[in-house]
Amino acid sequence: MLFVYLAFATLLLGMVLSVNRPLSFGLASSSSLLMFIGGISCLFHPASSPQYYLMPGLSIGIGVDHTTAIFLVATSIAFFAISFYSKDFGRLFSRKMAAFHNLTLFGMLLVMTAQDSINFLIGWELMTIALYFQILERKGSYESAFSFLAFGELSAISLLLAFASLFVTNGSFTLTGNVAANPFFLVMATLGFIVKMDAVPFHTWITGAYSKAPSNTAAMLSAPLTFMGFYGLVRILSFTGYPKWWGIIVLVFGAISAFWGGMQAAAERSLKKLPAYSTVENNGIILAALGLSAIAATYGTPETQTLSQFALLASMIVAFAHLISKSLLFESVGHAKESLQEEEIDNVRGIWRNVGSVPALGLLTSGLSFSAFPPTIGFVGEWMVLEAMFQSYKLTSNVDRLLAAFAGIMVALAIGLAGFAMVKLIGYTALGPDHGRETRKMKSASIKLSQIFLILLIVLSGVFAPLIVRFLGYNQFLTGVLGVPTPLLIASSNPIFGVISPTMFFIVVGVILIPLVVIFLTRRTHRKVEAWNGGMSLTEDEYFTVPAYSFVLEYVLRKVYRTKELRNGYNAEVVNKDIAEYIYEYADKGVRTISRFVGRNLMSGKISWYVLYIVIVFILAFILA
Amino acid sequence: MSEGSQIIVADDGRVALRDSLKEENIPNFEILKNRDSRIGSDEVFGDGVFDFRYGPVTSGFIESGSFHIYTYGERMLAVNIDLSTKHRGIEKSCVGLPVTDAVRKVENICGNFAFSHSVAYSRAVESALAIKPTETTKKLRVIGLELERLYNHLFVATRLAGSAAQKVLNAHLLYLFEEALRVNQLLTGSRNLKDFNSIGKAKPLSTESFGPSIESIGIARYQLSRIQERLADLYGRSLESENFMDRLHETATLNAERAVAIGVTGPSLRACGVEFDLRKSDPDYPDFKVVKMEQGDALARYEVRCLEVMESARIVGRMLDSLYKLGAANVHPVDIELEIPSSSGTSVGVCESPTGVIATYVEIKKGTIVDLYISTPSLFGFAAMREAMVGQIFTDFPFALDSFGVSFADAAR
Repeated sequence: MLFVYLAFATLLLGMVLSVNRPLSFGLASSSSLLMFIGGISCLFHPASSPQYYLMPGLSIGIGVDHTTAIFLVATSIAFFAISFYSKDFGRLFSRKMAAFHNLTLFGMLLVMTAQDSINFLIGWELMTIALYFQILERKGSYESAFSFLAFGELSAISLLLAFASLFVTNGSFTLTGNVAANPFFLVMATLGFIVKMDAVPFHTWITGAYSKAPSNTAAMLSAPLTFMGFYGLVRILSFTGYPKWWGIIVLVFGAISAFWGGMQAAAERSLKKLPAYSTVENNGIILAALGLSAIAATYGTPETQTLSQFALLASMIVAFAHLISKSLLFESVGHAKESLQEEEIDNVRGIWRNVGSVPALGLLTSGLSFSAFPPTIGFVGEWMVLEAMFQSYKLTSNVDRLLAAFAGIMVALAIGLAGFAMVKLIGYTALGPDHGRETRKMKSASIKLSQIFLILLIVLSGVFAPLIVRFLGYNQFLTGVLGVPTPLLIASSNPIFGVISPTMFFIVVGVILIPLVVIFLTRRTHRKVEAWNGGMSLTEDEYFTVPAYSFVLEYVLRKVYRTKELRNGYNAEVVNKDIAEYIYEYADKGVRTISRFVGRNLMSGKISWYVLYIVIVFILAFILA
Repeated sequence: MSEGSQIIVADDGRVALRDSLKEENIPNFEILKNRDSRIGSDEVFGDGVFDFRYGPVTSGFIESGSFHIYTYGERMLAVNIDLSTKHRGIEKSCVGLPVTDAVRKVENICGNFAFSHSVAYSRAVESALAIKPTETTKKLRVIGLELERLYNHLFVATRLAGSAAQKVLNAHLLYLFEEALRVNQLLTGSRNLKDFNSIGKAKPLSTESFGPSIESIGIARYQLSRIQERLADLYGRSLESENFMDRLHETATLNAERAVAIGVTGPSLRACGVEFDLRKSDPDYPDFKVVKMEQGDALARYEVRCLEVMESARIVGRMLDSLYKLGAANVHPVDIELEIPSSSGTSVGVCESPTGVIATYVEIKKGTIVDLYISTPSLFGFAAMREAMVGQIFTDFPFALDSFGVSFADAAR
């Protein structure tokens, strides 16, 4: 626990020393390393602090058990990368940002180590509020930040109610040991966590907040914050068990979320909104896998138990892949965006040439990971989820089979749409032609190093995915057949249903194909020419634009996208609208109507009415007393 | 003729010139003014809107020319056409040449409409120099014009079937197209009817390499009747194909009012319900029936062309019959030396080409051309197509392009 205490202390110090931004972010990086070491040590030796009894039924304390340690190790990697990235990136923003960054990490660490509802909620609120202030770093971001805060508070209120119900059942706020949970707790806690995971329809805030927030904050919002939601779900399931109804709800929610996120990402044109919707898609996949795991667990046969465990493992791998890949994506996007001072994908073409090879490679690697391209960790995770979905035939209930098949279709579509979106992002930004734009000079050593670290991690964690499976404690899914040595083959079932070995893939590609490619390239039997464009070079206004890339999809699915083609004289554009926004628009209209009614009829400012209210309240209080 | 001047051709073939008119008086002034370089200069702006340049050397195009399509993806918001890559300045290159020498140059304006250009030019020169072609020459020119219409219309139908992935229909039409070209070769010695017409006369039917001319006429007559029959069958079947109809129906629709304002003629105008055809009042076309449709879309243009093929086959057949009855000796009465006077004059010659009216203005001084202005139907066809494409999606592009049956070479000269 020493390292965890030190991590807390370092973060506090980072807040205090935020006047020196690089130092403050440096302390956050150091704290992340301490969390990593603490997590590793607690994997084998779970530890906890003493419990402090504040009053009967209310004791607080922190601790790290095996599950927490796994999440702590994973999160600390993202924390480290983002904090280190912020050392130079943070120079572009105010000192307050450094303090709030440390506070965010403090809150998240508290969430992960909390052994009681009080600490958990304090951590939950701290990270929400600290992130809220970080979004406010940019001018004109008030509305977006407030929107984030509103959903954050919806999550907090749901958790507050959940923990209150837990207290009613157990007479205690503790989250360790034998905790009896009721369905109300499970519903409210799930709501609280999936709101944080940007699940549909609680995702509408993301487009504003992600695009307005500085990129390091956007990375925190997208990767570690949503990971906290996933952690929360895993945590509560450890003492509520896996009710089937919960599994069905989460499976359907997740599948719809994944499809919706992928679909919206495919049509996005903004540099940061596209990754934002990709977050919705990835978290949807995680939820779907978790839901399938819960459904399979209720059957009780060895076959379905294995499926349940494999689906749970898949959700964890996808969550980890998303954690590091999305951190990298926002880092690279932020690097390019700040260098070019542009928001739209169309305006940041040619990053490789005009910004640098590191952000271009960052975009390429993270994009490939989200496109399930081997041997990245994203590929391993999404393969596992689909493998789990394919095994839905093992469920004996036809309803469950149909639901799992539906989820499988939605997830497969989501992966395809996400691939489409990522090809667009990579193709235009990292690999697109340079248009000779001026770049802004900025100190970028830590920005580049952090991206290089994550690039290597995404590839290596994919290549050595069997080791991650072992680290997570799922040795039963590691095997070796057809010349692939144990444990380099990940099997989705026992007896074997499907197998994959990213390690062998890497060896085959690395040892055989790469030398062949090198030989082919060095033979110089080819020449490079400009792509044929009707026999003439393209002028600046003749390049295919980002909206044009996805318009066909938007047009075909225009009923779902709510696509409108607007034409006003010589101006034309295509606008889409996320249907979920209608829900909040109607809610907004309803609230305004009620407010007007109350304002006009009940709180009109007449002193006589207020005197009447006071008298009524007094009489009621008198009667009740 | 000065820039922006207009040649007005009436339905009955009468011609009027309007010179130095002000811009506001001519709806298609911009088209006429820029006819060597571009058609249209509209621009559209907005998020994601870009200029999608299609051409000048691109797969799917059989000529060099560019379309500048403003789009945000799929939807064509504005279309401008660049003719400059195909402009050869043929009119200017004819200035200073003896009138007889310019015939071959005029033919080369556009291979597909070589005979029509040749006839329009010949009529202009003949009118200016008071040369009267013989009745047989007139008949031979009608045969040439209708043969040209026949193979061009078949070509358009073939292209439309190909673009709609109607492979069987496409293959059958290609066969008929090839048969039509062979008939041309058989009767005139040229697959695209070149070198068949000249000032004041036309060459005799059939060349020595095809044996006795009477036999050639008989074979050609039979082939044309087969083309007519087979096309009637194919046309009927094509109208029953929902897939084919889907692609053509309500695609690139042009209304009659706009078509007239732009200056469109030929099948594209007749497909809008306007009964304008120079052949209607031409005494060389007895018993001629104008084919027209009302809808103005790609389907209507396709229908007009198919029905006109059958009408052309009928006309040629009848002309050949009358020549056949005259016997072999009378097939060659135009094979005579014609004296071209070295006089001066000015006139306009018109002709109903496969894709619309060609009007050729010529000024001659002592047998030499001093001014030549050729109004080509493709120029106005492109201008109309450009308007009809706005609002359509890229998928409709080939149907719009092919159904108008226009040519860059013809428009750009």
